[in-house]
Amino acid sequence: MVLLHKQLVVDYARCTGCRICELACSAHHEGRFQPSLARIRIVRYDDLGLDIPNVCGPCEDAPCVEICPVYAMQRDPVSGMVTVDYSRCILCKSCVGTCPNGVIILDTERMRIVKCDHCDGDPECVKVCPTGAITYTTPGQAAIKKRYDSLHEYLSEIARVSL
Amino acid sequence: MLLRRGGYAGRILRVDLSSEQVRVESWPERWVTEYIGGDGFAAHILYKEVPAGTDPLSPTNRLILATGPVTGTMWPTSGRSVFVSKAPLTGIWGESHVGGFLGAELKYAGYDLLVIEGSAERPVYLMINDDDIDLVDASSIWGLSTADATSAILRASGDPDAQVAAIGPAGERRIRYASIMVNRARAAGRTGMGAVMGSKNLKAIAVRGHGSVEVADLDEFLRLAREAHRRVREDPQAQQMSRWGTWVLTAVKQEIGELPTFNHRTGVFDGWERLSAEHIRSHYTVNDRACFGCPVGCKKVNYVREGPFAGTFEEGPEYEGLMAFGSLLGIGDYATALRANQLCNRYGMDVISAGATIAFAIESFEQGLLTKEDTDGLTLRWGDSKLVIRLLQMIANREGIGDILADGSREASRRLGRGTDRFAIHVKGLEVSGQDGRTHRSIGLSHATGARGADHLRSLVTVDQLGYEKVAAERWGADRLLEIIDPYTERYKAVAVVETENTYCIRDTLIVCWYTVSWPPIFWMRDFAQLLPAVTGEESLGSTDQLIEIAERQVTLKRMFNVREGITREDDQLPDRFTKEPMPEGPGKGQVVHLNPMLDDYYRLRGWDVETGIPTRETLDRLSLGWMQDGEEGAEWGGRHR
Ligand code: SF4
Ligand code: SF4
Repeated sequence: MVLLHKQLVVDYARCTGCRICELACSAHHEGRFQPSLARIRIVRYDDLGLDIPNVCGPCEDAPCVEICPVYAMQRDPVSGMVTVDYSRCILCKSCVGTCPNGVIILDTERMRIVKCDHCDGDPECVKVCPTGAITYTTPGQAAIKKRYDSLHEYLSEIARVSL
Repeated sequence: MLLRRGGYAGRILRVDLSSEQVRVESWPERWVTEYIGGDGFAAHILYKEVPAGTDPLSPTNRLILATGPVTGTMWPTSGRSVFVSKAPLTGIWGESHVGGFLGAELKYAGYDLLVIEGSAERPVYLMINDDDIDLVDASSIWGLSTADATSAILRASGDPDAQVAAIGPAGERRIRYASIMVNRARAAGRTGMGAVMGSKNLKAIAVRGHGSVEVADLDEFLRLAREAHRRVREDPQAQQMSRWGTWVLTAVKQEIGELPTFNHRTGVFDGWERLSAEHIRSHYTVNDRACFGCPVGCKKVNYVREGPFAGTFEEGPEYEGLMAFGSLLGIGDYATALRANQLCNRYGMDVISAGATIAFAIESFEQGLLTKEDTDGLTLRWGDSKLVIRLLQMIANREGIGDILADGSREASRRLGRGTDRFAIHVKGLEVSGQDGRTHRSIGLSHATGARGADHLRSLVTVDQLGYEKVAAERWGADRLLEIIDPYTERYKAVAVVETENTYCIRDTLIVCWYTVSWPPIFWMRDFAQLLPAVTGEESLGSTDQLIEIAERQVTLKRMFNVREGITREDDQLPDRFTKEPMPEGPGKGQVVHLNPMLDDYYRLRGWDVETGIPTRETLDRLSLGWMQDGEEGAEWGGRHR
């Protein structure tokens, strides 16, 4: 059984693309407002009128853990969260390229890999999101399916439109 | 020296399109306490660098993109920016604020302002990627719609997170109310900033920034920002805005008899229901979106499923667009407004001026001053959706009568003559927005005195009209309340307008959105006075008196720009429609605006000469603007003497 751990669960239908989550995340981790270092990434599709939050997880088999040649990416068996062991990381950036959500980032200024740590169980992004588009919970499959379905519906609706 | 102060990037990016030179400059530290940012910085630069009499479409004119110290932070609605230039539509002070994501990105790239000078020999677009500044050949995208140009630039840049501000065919053809479109659907609409870009052969500005904005006191700032977000989220009107956007205004305006209809002849429109929030949301809205950092999310994505405009998919329009392509033209159909809005977005034209200029033509035709000979055989009449779409295309292409209407209603009436000026509903060349002084006296004064013309964004008082008695009493005293909230009296209206204008000035220096400050009225001067020291570290900005002085300086500086172009009290007038033609029906039936007593009060409060409307020497000195009359050029200003 997977998905027993608490995860950041996103609801595309609610997200307005305001990126307040990125601001709060960077303020919490970097002490400044810098969306390029936020561990959450909102992808805005102005042509489709759609905004999609990309967060770390849930990955059944974490590609970042699989690909890391020096075992610096490690999954905590209890929390399910993947963390970077900086003493091992050789900055090969394999994880950056392989993350399907695009939320493992290379901080080129301080030369280190940054990624979401769920704010140690009290996620800032969840607290600031004005629409409830991100929740921190153990998601049921039904809820996830419903969200994918609603996105499908939306996309098929606008696919009929000449953009 | 680079000024690295909380909230600011400390740098100006200057791009001379004629010489293809790019320079990065610092700005003087005293600007923090003199202007704060945004409109204030831009006003100083425009005044100094664009001499009187400059043709707005000549290379000498500047196009300034400005942000403020709050831009890019977590304060609610911090993504905004402002384009400032001498306006092609009016020939005076021009500015247009815009939402979206551009302003924040410019800060992250490391600049508070972008100043564009000169004019490119061939079409180019500007690509700003942190410190990499490129002028890219735009010949392959010249002629494209704003949406297609934006897509092409994003594809070429390979970075979907770049933010693009583009002009469309209207800007290229110098339609005098051409807009600059940011993120495809957010418009810097008013006064013709897009035509300035077109005249400079500049198709677009694309920005990508990977840097940061740091505030002086992060803990205090985050405390204030979280509290501010909570206040917005809990505000019932802000919740309404999240759901219905600015469309909530249609029903309110109809009820108070101030929904501009048939070119502002009346304020009551039979077809209002099909322009109302409930109708639109249930029939057309498919998604809600927000600008950067905004918890309100008033932007709506809409889709027309059936009828002649089936398949139209677009954000917006706002209340103003609904009015301009709805009631103003006698059209009670949302799909028409959405389609017209989409065309304006893609051509890159201001919806208010476009709708109002069409209304001007229709009324002139109705009154027999325009004939089929002028219109290539078209019959101009109210309530004709197809006609409006056709006219928009003709305007954007400067085709037939469209060429005349492309210059705005004032210029069109000058070219046509025949007494058509009666139906050109503008102040100083800017078409009147979706309000009416006859049913809301203070907006009459706002329209008359606005630095850019008949403006609804710089001093529109909201708390005297929409049921905010408590807020109004708090701000202007319980003893004046009854008169302040009486929409049909001139008394104390100047007090409300001046104090409102002052607050909005600070709003436009930060820069934050109209919504949450102006309406619903959540944040006011004292909130800014708490916020600014935490952001900038400048303690003196913690005094509301200081902020008021900065606001007065900004208003007077813009006024002096206009005075130098020959503007006086004589130009601060309203169209006869509002002062001589009584409101024909509705709750305000029989009302007209008596402008002069309000103007007298306004000038007195501003310290401007009551006879001429020109700021007195004493006022200039009090606001440290004496240099404007001494002809000093301020040697400290980047060493650039002109
Ligand atoms: S949980 Fe924390 S670290 Fe992860 S995206 Fe949200 S704010 Fe950033
Ligand atoms: S804060 Fe919420 S609504 Fe805003 S972009 Fe993030 S997930 Fe979307």
